[in-house]
Formats: sequence, structure tokens, C-alpha cells
Amino acid sequence: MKMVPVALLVVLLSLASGALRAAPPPGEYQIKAAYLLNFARYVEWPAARLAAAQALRVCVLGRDPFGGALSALDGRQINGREVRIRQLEGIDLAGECHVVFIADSEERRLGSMLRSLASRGLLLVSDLDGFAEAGGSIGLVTEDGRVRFDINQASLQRDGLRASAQLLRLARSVHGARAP
Amino acid sequence: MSRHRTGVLLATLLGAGAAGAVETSFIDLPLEELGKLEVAAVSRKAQKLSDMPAAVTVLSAEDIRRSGARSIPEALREVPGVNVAQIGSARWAVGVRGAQGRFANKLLVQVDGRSIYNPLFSGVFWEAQDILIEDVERIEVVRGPGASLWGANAVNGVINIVTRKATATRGGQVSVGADSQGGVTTAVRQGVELEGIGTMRVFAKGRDLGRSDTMDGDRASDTAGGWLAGFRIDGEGGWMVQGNSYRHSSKELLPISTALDPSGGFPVSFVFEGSNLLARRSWGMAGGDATLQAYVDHTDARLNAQGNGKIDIADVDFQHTLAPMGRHELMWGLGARYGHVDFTSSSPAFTFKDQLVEYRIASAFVQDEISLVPQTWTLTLGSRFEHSTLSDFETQPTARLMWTPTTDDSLWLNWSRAARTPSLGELNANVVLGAQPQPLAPGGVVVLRSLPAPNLRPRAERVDALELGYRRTLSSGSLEAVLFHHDYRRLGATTMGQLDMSSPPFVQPLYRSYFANACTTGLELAADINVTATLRLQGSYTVLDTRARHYLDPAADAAGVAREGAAPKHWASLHALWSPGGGHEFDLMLRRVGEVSAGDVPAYTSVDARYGWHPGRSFELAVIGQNLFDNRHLEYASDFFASQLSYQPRRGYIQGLWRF
Repeated sequence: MKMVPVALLVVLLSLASGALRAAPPPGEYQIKAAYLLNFARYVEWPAARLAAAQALRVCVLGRDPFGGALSALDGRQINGREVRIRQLEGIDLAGECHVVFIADSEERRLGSMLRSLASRGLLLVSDLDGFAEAGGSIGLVTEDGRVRFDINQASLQRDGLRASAQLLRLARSVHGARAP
Repeated sequence: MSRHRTGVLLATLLGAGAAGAVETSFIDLPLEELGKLEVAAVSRKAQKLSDMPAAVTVLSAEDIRRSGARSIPEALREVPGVNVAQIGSARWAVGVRGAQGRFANKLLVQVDGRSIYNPLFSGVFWEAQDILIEDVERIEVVRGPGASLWGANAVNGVINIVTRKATATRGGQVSVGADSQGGVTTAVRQGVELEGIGTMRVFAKGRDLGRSDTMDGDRASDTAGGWLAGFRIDGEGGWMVQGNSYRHSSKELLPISTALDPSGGFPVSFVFEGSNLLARRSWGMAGGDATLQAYVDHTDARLNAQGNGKIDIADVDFQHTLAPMGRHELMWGLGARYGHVDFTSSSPAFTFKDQLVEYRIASAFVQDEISLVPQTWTLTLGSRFEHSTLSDFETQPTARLMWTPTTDDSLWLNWSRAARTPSLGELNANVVLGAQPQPLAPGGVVVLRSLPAPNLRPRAERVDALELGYRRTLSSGSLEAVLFHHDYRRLGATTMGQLDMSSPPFVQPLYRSYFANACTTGLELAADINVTATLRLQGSYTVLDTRARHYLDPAADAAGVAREGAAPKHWASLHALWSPGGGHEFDLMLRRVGEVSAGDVPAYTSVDARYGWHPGRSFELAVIGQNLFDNRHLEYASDFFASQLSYQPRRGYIQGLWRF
């Protein structure tokens, strides 16, 4: 009878390897990486922050949760510009970036981080709970096995960023239509 | 069995490397399509506290959901170092790195920053602490002393239960569950927008829990049920207010076979009622973050018609994290607590020396995180200074050194000292523990009575803890190994007093004081691996060895022996999560728990399975079978307050969840 659990596990494992041969559904952070690129596509930076031929820098602040899914996108083209993926060593260098993804390892420092990153023309994205409400630009939310996003319109406006109507329409919710 | 499991684990570890391949085709999907994609395996959130030099496990809402847990203790079963035993219906014993027990007194538990540690009995009455499990965002389990940050009683660990912000629970939700023993649970939650103020959720839950089995497979008499209602408002500008009210009642049987009642069985009913209100505000202060929190908590606990304890607590806490200054990241805080306890008992078997007790605690803490070599070596020094009117001034320091040679590896070594303040029960209660047959005494028995020693000077129990830990983040999971040694001093124990023969029946006093020493050594292993895109495995294994000092006094020595055998010497869990897509989820959970010699609880293996189906956003179904290959097993027995042994039967339950 003690063998039963092991046998069940073996069955489960073999079923799983069968499922692998079929096209595997994407992992959570693969989808989130795709979202990051899409946000860059649907948000407009002021020309002073992002010149016409300039590369668009997507930076990760904190422990990279993407497991290679984001760095694999380095060098891709969106809206006719090259995308560069960077890992940030500290908050001081964030000014070089256009999109900053704040990893959840930074949760304890989130408040001070948001304050020092504000009004610097950065699109701040994170999957920390309540990120858009806390003052970030776009918060990723995993709900019912699907990844969706919230937008903080006030933060975007403060940073001089313009989200396309399509992005706003697809958001789960849009906070702060007026500045707080 | 253990060899097989090691083999499977090894195979999955070897296979893990191949699973990290990146599928890039969907990168070019339009935005609309991305939101419709179903995530196959939701990976565990990169541990939020992973850069902390401590053994921390974070259970996400997803982990809790997939475990099929209906209560907090159930969700904790797979955390290494945490030992969970079901006592009976809704009653749980949870221990971290040591004795689990109904009155496990070295564990601090908080719900959204509010302590649910009961100062009267020093422990957590888990049955009274019901929660809307769907609205829990995460549970953080810190093993080892967390006293430098969280204060007294965080001796063996801290459990922080964090509920979701009201902004994350905007809609309505109804959940209905029923188990095979006839227990029904219903919960309703509704989000409300308060224009210009914030977002609120209100919720209510009612439950009636299935009874346990007796040894022979009959229904035990441990009925339990109650309700819970509350709200939480999260406002714009970083403030939060929440409140809860609850009632829980349960019955159990104390199988005392005395000459007076040979049928054996003294029915005991517990009723817990309470309310609490908490407010918190966070704001930017001097370039850093400040948080101020205050709460009031009222608990009314009744034991039959004879005993009644009313506990009122008011607590204020301030915390400030400063902006990093060079290599230093400073954090400091202040706290104050006032407690008012009113205990009445009409039974001579259980009395309190002081019927009314007030106590005050004032504390301050400071912590400096020093980056010795940026990104590589970090030293954290901190201490909490606490004064309680129930004991002395306590300094609870910690020193933690962490080495992160790569972004994926961290190795830490830490030393901490923590204290547990004596509970009001320990200082005041005078309890008849039972009667011992003694043919020479009048009536043939000697009554055993436990009471505080004369001239007892209340001192806090103390632990010095050493910990060596290693954590590795893999591209598709994580591994963790932690070795620890806890050295306890001034533990509560009893000595035999002079036999009182002044009037029949004779009374043997057992005096409680703080003098016993003990130490525990253990190893905690954990692995969390995404084997393929659809299969994830989580495993944990804990070894624990407790040594208590032996004494000539028979009562003191017996307490030491009981302490040594109060926890299993090893326990393990394995959870396979398979998500083939299409909204289907399969879970298989195995647990092996070693024997607990103190209560003669045999070792057991249990197998649980779960099937979940969520065809869309608005509906979710879960079917769970627990203890599949075993008619029933025992998880807990105690000589103190030894209610009828409750065997956990094979059990099934089904739950539906609607969102709108």
C-alpha cells in the first residue's frame, strides 16, 4: 500500500511528459515579458526622453523573476526601434531606462522607490500587489490563471507619458483619472 | 519509501534544467490576446523576502488555493520546519521547530499586523481564528526567532497572514463548500467603491464543521461551528481600516473515568466571541517610509458555564525605514500595548490568583542593514528592547551575515536571542490536573494541583538560536537548506511541593516556575521545481532532535521527558501540481509524519488529492479527497487538557466559487 503514492506520482509524471510534447502553454513570466514589450509599444514618451532613433531600454530592478524570458527579447524591434534589456544594479541608474520593471524582491523598499522614480519619464511596471494603486504606472495582476493589468492614469500623466486608447480600454481598471 | 521519494526528487532535479526553454511565438500576440492566454503553471512568486538572511517561506494565494486548504493551519502543512497536527474538528496544533501543541507558546501569529497570540494561555486558539481563505494574499512563515523585528514571543517563529487589499477584491464572490461528514461552509464577499474615499469589501462567513472519528470509527463528539463578518477599506494615500467580529463554539469530551463517573466523559464546551478594529497609515518621511498602526481587540472566551476570560488589548506601533545612507539601510520603531484581562471561574478546580490583571508593554527596535561589499556581503544588526510589566526588561538582539556570491545563491549565518513572556495563566492559574490513586490516603486518591511557586519571580523564557542557511534560485524553481540549533533557558517547568494533608482529600501541589533547560537541533530542506511547463513539484523535509536537561525532581524530570518527545523527529511532504490547461488542475499531496512519543501518536502517511476546474473567470470548482489510503489516523494527543482522541477519517469535500 505504501507503493501506491509512488505509483500515482509516476503516472502523473508520465502524463505530464505527454503534455510537454504537445505545445506547452506559456508560463506566467513569459506572458509578463510579452506584456512589457506591448506596453512599450502602446505608450508614447516625450521626444526629450526618447528620441526618434534611440533604443528603448527595458530595465529590471531587483531579483529578475523572468528566468531568461525577458533577456531573450533583447534586440527585438518595436515601433521601428531596438529594444535593450538591462538588469539595474541600483535605483540611481534608472534614469537611463524607459521602462522599469520592479521585481517583488523590492517590496520592502517600494514606497521610497516609487517616490524617487516619480516624474522622471519612466514607465514603472510591477506585479507587486496593488502596484498601480500605490502610484506605479502599470500593475500586472494574475487573476483566474490569466495575466491582466491595471493602469494608474495620474502617474502616467505626471511622467508625461501617453497611453494609447487601446491600452486603456484593455486594462482591468484605470485608477486616478485625476491627479491625487 | 524514503528512498523512492529521493529518487523521484533527484530525477526531477535533473530534468529541471531542460524545462527552461523559452517559447517566443506568443511574444508577438496582440495585446487583446495576451489577456486571454491561460497561464499553465503559475510560478511561485520570487520570494518577497528572499534577500532577507532568514529562513522564510512565503505561501502565495495560489499556493494556498492549490493545497485545498480550508484553514490557515492546513495551508501550513507543506512548509518545512512547521509541524501541523489536527487535534479535532477545527482544532489544530501548530509548532515551528519544536513541540506543536494546543498551547504551543513560542510562536507569534499575526493577521494583517494584529497579534492573535492569546496572552491568557500564551498560544493561538486556531479554532477561533477563522478567516476568508480566498482573500488571503499570502502567508509569510519566518522560522527561528523574529523577535528583533516583531517582539516578544517570536521565539521559534513568526507567521504573518496578509489579506488582500480591498482594491484587489472589487467584485462580488460567493463560495459554498460541503464535506462528506455533513459540514457546510458558506462565504460571501462584496467589493464597494466609496467615491473619493477608497475601496471597501464587506464579507461574512458561516461554517459548520464535520466531526472527527473515535478510535473505533464512530463519530466523535467534537462538533464545531461559528460565523465571521468583517470589512476592510483601503483608501487613497496609503491608509487602511479593517474590522472583524466572530463567534465560534465547539464541544469536546474529556474522558475522565473517575469513581464519580465511571462512564468516563466530561463534556466541555468552548465559546469564543470577539471583535477587533485596526487602522494603518503609511507615508513618506525623511526620504523613507513610515507606518503607524493601531488596533483594539476584544476576546471573550467561555469554558462551560464555569470559566470566563475577557481580554481587551490596545496596541500602537510605529515603524520608520530610512532612505539608504551610503552602505547603511536603517529601520527603527516604537510600540506600546495595554492589556486588560478579567477572569472569573465558579469552579474550585480552576481559579485565578488575581481576577483582574492589567499589563503594559513598551518596546523599541532598531535595525541596520550594512552592505559590507555591495551585492555580495551584507551584515544585519538589530535589537528590540522591551519592557513588560509581566516580566523584566528584555533585550532581543540579532546579527545576520549574508553572502550572495551570485544573484542566484545566498548563504547566511545568524545568531538571535528572543524571549517569551510568561502568560497570565502561568502566573495566576491554580488548576486541578487530576487525581492519583493512593490507597493510604483518605478517599484513596491524592489530588494533583498545579499552581505558581510561592515567591515566583516572573522571568521570560529565553532562546539563543544559531542558523546556517543556503538558498538557490533556479531558472525554474528554488532550493533551500537550513541547519539550526536553539538553546533554551528558563523554560517553564514544575517541581513537587510538600503534600498537603491538612484536610481530605490530600493535595499534592505542583509548583510552576522557570528553570528548565533544553536544546533543539534540526535541518529543514525545501525544493520547488517546475519540472515542465505544466508540472510543478514542491517537497519539504524536516529533521528535529530535542534534548532536555534531566532533574532529580520527578515532576521536573517528567516535564523534560515530555518535552523531548513532544514533536515528531522527522516529517516530509511532497506536492505535485499538474496544470494541463483548459482550466483543469490536478494536485497530489503526500505527507509522512514521524511518531510523537509523548502522546503515543504513531507515525502516519497521508495522501490527499485535488481536482480543480475553472472554465471561466466567474466560476471555479474544486473536489478534494483527504487521507485517501487510510481509514483514519491520529495526529495529536496531549496529557494536558486531554480531550477524547480524535482520529482524522478519510474525507472528501467539494467547493464552488462564483464571482460576479
